Amino acid sequence: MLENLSVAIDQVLAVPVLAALAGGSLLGIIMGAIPGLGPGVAIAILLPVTFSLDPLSGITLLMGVYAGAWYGGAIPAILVNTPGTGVSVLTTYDGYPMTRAGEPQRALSLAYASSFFGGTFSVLVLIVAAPLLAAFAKKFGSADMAMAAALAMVLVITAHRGAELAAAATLCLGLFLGTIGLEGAYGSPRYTFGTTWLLGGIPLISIILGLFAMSQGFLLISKSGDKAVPVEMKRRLLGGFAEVLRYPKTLLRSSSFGVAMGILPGVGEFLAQFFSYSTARRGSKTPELFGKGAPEGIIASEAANNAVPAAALVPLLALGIPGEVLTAMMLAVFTVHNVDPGPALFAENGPFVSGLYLSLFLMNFVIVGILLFATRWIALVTRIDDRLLGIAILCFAMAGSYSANFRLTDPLIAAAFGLLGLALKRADIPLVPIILGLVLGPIFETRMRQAIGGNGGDLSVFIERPISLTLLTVMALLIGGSIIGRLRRRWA
Amino acid sequence: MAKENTEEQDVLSLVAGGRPKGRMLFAALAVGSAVLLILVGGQTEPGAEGGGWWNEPRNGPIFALSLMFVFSVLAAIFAAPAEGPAAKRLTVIALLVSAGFLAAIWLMGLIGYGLSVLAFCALCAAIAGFRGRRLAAVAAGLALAMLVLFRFVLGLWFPKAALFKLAPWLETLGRFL
Repeated sequence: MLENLSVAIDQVLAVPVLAALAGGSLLGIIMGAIPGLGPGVAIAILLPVTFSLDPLSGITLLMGVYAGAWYGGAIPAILVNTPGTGVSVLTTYDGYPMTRAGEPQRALSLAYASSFFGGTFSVLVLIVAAPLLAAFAKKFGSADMAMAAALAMVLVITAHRGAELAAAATLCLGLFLGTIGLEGAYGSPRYTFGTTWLLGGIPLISIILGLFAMSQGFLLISKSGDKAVPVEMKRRLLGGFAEVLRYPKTLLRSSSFGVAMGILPGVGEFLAQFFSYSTARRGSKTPELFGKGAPEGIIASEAANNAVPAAALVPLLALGIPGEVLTAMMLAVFTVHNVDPGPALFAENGPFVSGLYLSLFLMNFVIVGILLFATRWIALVTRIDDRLLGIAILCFAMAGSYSANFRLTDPLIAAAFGLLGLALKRADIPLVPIILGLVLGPIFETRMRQAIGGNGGDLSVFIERPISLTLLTVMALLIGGSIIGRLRRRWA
Repeated sequence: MAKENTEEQDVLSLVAGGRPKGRMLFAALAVGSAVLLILVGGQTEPGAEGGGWWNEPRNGPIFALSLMFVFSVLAAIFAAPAEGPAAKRLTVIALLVSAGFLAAIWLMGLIGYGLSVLAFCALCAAIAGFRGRRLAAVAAGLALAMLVLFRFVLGLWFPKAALFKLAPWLETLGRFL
């Protein structure tokens, strides 16, 4: 890896990558700071743009948005008690009471410092863990890869506590959508209804723009224009970087929760935050302060959140299996540029991987630099009228869905999925499994064909291979645990 | 202790999805998957003889649709009903905006990107409740911002509109719109 370092430095210092790093980080912070938007909408809008960039610039741009949004989400959570992103909810518990006590800059500073620690910690884990997992993944055969994809799907379903059936139904919808178009074995059409425009499958961009961007645009356009006025920021924000060091256990434990939950497919920031916050409160000398402005509460929430993005890249880079929706979108960028994530990536694209590590590491410094310098101005974006944001998002979706192929069918699909996304959001039905089903489905189908075909049609290959058998056992335990948990909740 | 348990539940509620609503949505998904399953014979072609059962093109859709049917039926049974007056208002807004969205894209071939976006922004602004001068300012401001971003900053190409082929001076104008 070190031999690639000089190449990586050259790559990252190239103007397009630096521009993507700075632009993505700033855009992510702003999108995170605007309640109701978040990185999903931003990445859905930016995805078509990244296809015209080189892979490193494209991924850096998306990762900048992803990581920046988690940092930025703390701003409205702390200043106006409204989480900028869903994962900043727990930051409001202690951040806003601190603001009410006249210490908004302390709360923000603590949030930035813990986010920085969590973010850089998870990049270091990515650097160590991804090649190790990739080296281990070289032992994976088709049966093992099929079971890894299946395990990712099971994890996605079981992560939606209390809504497992809904998640399973929407994941299967994604699986079905992934089968539309010409299939791989014979090149015969499936569910194209005699049309030519469906032969290439349903465009992922249109589905993502519809489900995430357009549905959010519909919601925002129908809101009222009233917004809370944020607290004015005056003082410097560096104090938290020294203060977080007084809580090394909380910082390290929370970052570790974030990393662990980031690596596991489908689990993500919510569970990381929950475990981190609960554990921090249990382990605290002053648990009574939690919810009233405890510094450890902010540290637990923010360090865990920000440790997730880089860790979420581990299964994508090492196995080629995205664990959540944002890395599923990133897989599309890899695919467009003919870069195959998986065990071979590290051998064939070493400089790219090193460049990615370096850009992810620098990203945390860039984001903190922007926040330390510009928080008071960024806080103003929380005052933008939701309806204007809604119209702007719909305009972005219009250009994004039409410019991919310049045909009316793609925006039509985007609009249809926008309406579906809105209906699902209104009913609290998770959207994420649709995208993961759509992305993981073809991987699962191809690997199943290869595994069973290579074994002459005998299904015993899945229990004869130790890795596959282990993954199958984990799946069985997860499904069994989920069913028992559901029954217990019903009987309780 | 009791207070701590309450707080624990409160935090847990953030990660637990809770009982989803939308019984009708799941019922529609179940019916849709059943219909698509019935169509599988006509919408897929059989594989070559001797090509192996595992390579059959219909395996994937049958697997996905069967599971989707089962899970949708179960989800419909356990889900709570949704929909209220607010949801219906939102649905009407979404349908209107979607129709405007598609009409604006269709209009691009006739009047170009800039004018289509202006019309779409005006429609959205009106639906969002802006009126009079504010409506005009919002529509013109957003359309100009989109035009600058997509045509000049990102250099996005759009097919030449029919309007700009009518006269040479219109063609010049069309390069900017």
